[in-house]
Amino acid sequence: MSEARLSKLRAGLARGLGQGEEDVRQTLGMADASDRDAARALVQIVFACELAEVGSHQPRRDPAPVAPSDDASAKTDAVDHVRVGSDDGASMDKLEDLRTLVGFLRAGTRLQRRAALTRLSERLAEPKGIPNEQVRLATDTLTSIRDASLAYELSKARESLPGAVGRSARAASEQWRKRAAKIQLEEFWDGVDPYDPILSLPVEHRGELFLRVRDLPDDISAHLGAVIEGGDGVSTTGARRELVEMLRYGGDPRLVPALVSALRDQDPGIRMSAASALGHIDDPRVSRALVDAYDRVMVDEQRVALAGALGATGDRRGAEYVRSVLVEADAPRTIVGALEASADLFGVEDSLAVAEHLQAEERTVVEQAVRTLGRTADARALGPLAELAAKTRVPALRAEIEEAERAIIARMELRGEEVERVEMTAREEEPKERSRFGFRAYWDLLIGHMWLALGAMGAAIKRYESSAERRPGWGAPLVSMAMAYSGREQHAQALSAFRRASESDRRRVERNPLYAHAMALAYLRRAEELEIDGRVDVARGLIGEVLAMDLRRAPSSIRIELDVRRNRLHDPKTRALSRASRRAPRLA
Amino acid sequence: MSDLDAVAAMRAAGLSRITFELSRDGKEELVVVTAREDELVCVSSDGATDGAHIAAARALLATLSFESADLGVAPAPKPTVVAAANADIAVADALDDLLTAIIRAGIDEAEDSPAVKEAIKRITSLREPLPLGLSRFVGRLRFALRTHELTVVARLLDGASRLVGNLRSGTRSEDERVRLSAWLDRGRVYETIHDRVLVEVGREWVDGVEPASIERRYLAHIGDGEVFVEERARDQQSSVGSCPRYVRVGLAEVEQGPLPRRIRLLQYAASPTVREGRFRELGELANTEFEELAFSFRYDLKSFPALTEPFVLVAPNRCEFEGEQLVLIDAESRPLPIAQDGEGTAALLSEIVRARDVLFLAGRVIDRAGALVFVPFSVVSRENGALAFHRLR
Repeated sequence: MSEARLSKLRAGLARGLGQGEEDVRQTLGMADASDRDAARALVQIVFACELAEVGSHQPRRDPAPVAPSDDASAKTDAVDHVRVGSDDGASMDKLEDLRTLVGFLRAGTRLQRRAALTRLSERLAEPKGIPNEQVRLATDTLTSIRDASLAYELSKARESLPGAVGRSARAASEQWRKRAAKIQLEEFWDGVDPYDPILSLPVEHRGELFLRVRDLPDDISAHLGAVIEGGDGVSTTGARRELVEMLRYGGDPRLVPALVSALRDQDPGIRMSAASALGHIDDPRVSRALVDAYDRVMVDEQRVALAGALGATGDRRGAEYVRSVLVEADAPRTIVGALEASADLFGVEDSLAVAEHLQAEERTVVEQAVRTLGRTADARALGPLAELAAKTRVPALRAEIEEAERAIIARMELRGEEVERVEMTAREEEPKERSRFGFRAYWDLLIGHMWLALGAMGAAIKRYESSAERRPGWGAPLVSMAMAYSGREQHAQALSAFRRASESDRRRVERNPLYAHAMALAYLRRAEELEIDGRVDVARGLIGEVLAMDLRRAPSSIRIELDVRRNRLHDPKTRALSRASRRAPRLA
Repeated sequence: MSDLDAVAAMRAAGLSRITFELSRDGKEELVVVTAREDELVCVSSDGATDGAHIAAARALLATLSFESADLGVAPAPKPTVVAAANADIAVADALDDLLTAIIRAGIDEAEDSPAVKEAIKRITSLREPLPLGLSRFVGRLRFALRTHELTVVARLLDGASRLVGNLRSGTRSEDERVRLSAWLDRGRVYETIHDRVLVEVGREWVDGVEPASIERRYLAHIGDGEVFVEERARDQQSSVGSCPRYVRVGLAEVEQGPLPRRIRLLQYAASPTVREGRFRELGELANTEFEELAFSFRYDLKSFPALTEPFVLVAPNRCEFEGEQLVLIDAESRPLPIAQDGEGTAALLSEIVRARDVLFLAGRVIDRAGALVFVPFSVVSRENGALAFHRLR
């Protein structure tokens, strides 16, 4: 067929038989045929002609490329002009001053925080020429900062530090490697072992595993992908939802396809958690997947989660929408979600609107508002935060306020603004009055340690009790008792002892990473036991109690597990899971 | 039991179809017994409507009890069906009307045409659930109309037109039965395979009647490199396993039809651990000549213009860049550009290729403006002396 005839037919196909149809019909030689016959002939001929051309051209480029999704406008801020990985001289990887890097670590966007962490590690690896006080500041910050979204990068950075901190981080890393190497998948997939080898791990090991998921071997990553997609034949919806929640900060690009698939899961919780997890993965596939999901989803709670995930990647197209949701929403869950999303979407001009939520009745709303204010970093928020700190008796909230104030001041310094030293967290707890009889109490404590070392648990506990009785307000014997019970996995007793220790000497417990870890774990394990036993309400109370404490010095993995457990225990649909979710055998 | 009695009994029990798997005289056949409005239709998987297997199925049917209590199910609600004397004619009419509506409106305006929307709605109402072939056709057609891809629309409509011809003619040659099976999941023409080793190299959700409603898992055969596809609707069960996965097949059914051929795993064991050697074997079986790809693509299109979506393994001789555009080059210096679909997959693949040597890629071949373009799903690369599988989508 001639090119001209084919062009006419293609034009007819495009415009329709109603447009210049006589021309097309005449070209077909079907002037009197029915529309149906003419249509069949038309497509048949055009297809046959096109078929001959397929593969005849050999371009070196895709002839019809699709443009990637457009970027939303970025906010203008002096801080944001220090780009990550740019070539314009204002790049994070060229910053020399450790104080500035520490500032970005506390107050930057997620990408800036990660880049600052990488750069800090590089600078600390060769500290020659850097003033000692800056090195000390950077090392102290790396040691103390507890940002779950940076947990992986922080662990790597700490491994390269000198001294006890570095040794401890390297030991933890080695322990992680050994645990990961023990995971056996074959028996599960062969149907020999009915239980998922990863979901069956103790909670604290699972949390640590997932924070370093990107270091796991490919087959374990593929296994996790199968669970996320529901392709393991075992996991319930609730178990899958929890897995995706726990992978929130994993940052493993290998899981992107499974998480993108999960954006269309039938369970809305899985969809939202998948969006959040994708927002923390630096991968070119993430943006378009999130944008497509954002454009098609209409339910507020889910759309807000997607807007937040996009915000975490630097795409702020959802900011206006989240603003409207914050104004209109009533449900605390939706408000918390919107506040969380706004942390990566809002600027200083939104801080007063966010600060209004500091008056909310629901503690989770207030906590999230505090966190968001820390990220929007407007100096005007310092006043309301200080007022809240003065009123509240909840340690977790005070901890959040402290972190938010630090972040705001750090950001102000980065912006070159003058910082008025505001009284931070003005109200301190009065230390309990201690008895004058210190020596006998100390002696009892020492003997208790000795009995414990000899394995005489009963005798040790007696001595600890005696020590605590002799010196009320001194937390050391109670903490020792709690740690002894914790070491023997007697979680109920450990819980009780930690409670007494917190009441007696809260700072001792919360400010020591070892004790904070053990305490959080005791609560988590005891809650797990109660939940399996069917006493869900008690379990929920325990989780609420521990989350009200200052857990900044507890490992991120435990805090994430606690959050996941809280969400599950508050969701009526999933409360029935308990034993089934982790121990469900494979279907035949 | 007379045919009419059997129809009445089946309908009363809420059954519309019963399938018997029969082995007789050394020959295995599936016999599908369908209760249509006024007739009992028995068809075996070899297309026969009489013979030993049909007789056996009828005999078995007569012995069955259709009491709901015995069946343990409540009577099913009446299925939604088009009021037509013959279901085949209903499908043919609906497709014909769709074709006519689109051509009348013109591809440029068809997406918004009320007549076209109505015609599509009529097709989606034909059966519940809609067969996967028909569902995928609707999904592809909607997309092609939205993006004004004239070539693809013509191809899809030509394929539909051929199906219409089959349905109206009532004849059942081998090719026609394969076409019916591929479109309508009817009278499947398949072969049984045993003791094979497959490796899953790609997975995706594609649009059917609903967006992302059909899952496809692409499994490459270690023996000859053929890629099969396991297909299911979102609410259907599938085999277990990850991507990638190593699948030891004890028993499976492979349908004749458009490439890649559909596979149904009946007895298998899956594992997420795929040893390097298996990837190496697949790499040796991958396509190295892109001319051959083009020939196969044209051949497949000719047979199944509406349903063919070839999925292949390719092992390029080298990879080059035209700016940001990654191009695979074979030994004859024939190029195969990577599709730029705006999803970030091409960018990720480019990152991998810049840093590592490529052993082979798995993906779909499509055509744009007369040129073949490769949509990558996964790549196996060499790094530090070891092979690594990267799932891209």
